[in-house]
Amino acid sequence: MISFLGVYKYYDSTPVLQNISFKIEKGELIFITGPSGAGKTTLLRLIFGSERPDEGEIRVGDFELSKIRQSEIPYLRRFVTFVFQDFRLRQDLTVYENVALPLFILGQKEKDIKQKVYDTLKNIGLRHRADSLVRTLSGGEQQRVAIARAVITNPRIILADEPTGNLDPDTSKEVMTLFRNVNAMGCTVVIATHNPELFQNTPYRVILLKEGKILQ
Amino acid sequence: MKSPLQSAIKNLWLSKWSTLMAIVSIGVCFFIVTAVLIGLYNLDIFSKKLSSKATIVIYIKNEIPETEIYQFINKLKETGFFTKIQYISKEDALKEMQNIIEPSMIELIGYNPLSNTVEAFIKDEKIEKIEEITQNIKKSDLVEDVYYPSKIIYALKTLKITLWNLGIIIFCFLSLAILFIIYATVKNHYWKKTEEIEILKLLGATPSYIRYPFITEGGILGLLGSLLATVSIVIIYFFLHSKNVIEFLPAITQLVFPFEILYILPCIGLLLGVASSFVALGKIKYQ
Repeated sequence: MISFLGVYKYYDSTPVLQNISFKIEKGELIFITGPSGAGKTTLLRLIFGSERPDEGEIRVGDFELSKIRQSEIPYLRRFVTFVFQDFRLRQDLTVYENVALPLFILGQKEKDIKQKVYDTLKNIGLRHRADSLVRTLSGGEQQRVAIARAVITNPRIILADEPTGNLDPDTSKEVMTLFRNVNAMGCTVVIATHNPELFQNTPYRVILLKEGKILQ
Repeated sequence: MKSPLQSAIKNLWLSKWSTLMAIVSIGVCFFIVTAVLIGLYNLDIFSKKLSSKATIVIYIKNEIPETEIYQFINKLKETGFFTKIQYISKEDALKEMQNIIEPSMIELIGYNPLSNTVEAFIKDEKIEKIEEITQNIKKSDLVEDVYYPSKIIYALKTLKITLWNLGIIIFCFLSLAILFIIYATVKNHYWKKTEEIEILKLLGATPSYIRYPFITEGGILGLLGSLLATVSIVIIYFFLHSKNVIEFLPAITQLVFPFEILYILPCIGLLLGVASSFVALGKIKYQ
């Protein structure tokens, strides 16, 4: 599903990622961890097509990311979705509108959108907040809306960058449960975190990064 | 969730004062351009009317018999340069002269001093070649002399070229101004929505999906500006053709109004709006 082969990434000639090679299989849930500045976010951005590798090859599904054209990136982002630490939600829209946005981009019919959005909101326990403006929601609720928005189009891969970074421990557990549920439905989930509590005592694979290199 | 048209209208409404200023500025530019073009159009019609009266008068040598003169006229007709050619014999010319000058004055001279003449009315599209045509006629052995209104033709030609060039400069300048106003307005709205657009890019929106509302916005600005100019021009036209104004300025009735501008102008406005907003958005980048 995702493969890195000898990937290097530099910012102003400073190496951020060095000789990164790994594979993530379809339906896997994997953690990428390491201290701040280890290159976790850059790695996710490479998978999402926001950055281009300076050396090496990255394959995500059928997309060859070292050669990807600008015009292909929107289609990559329908295949791979992203959950951000700062949620990146439209604060001027309601919960319903935020979750419906990817479906509008896909050009789906209003009736189908309504059904899907309400089902998804029900699954994440936010059906009752559908008409609330996002800015009136707590951090945990906003992160759940962001996850709902990421899963609504049934993507093959979900990337999450410090998804619990701004949340308290209880809300973090709820959010992780949501990711596990999404993964249980067959979606590949890649979570970047520096919080070891999220993956300790779990059966999931962990990639440890330090100074842009894979340690483990 | 809104359609591109609804989003565009909402964007324009959110910054209604800048939108209004843009529409009025575009309207003023379109109004001036259209007024200049109508002026030039009328000048063209006027100059055509004048030039259709341009005549070449050919004085025939006295000893030439009429049969040869008619052969000469046929040759002139074959060139296709003239709308009408008429022969005036020296006797007919004298009769006409007697209507203008006292007959006793002519009797004093004791003979008919006039020549046989041919009057050739030049075709409108050949007016530029009048000098060349005249020189060719002069070369004929039958011809004593040729007269044509060279100064009037030259003045008319110069005036026409000057005004057309001026019109083209005004047209180009104001068209650029319209493009710039729409460009700046759409660009400003685009910058205001940078965060929103970034979110759309992250969600897999294609460049065309992102562009549609802004292009619609540009189209609306161009269309409304041009409609404002069209309505103003129509109002002025009816005002100028009102009874009171006609009595005061009777020449106004000679003014020709090309009614095609009622649909051409809004189409141009729409096109300019779409084109300039497309340029304003530039390339949508994802990396």
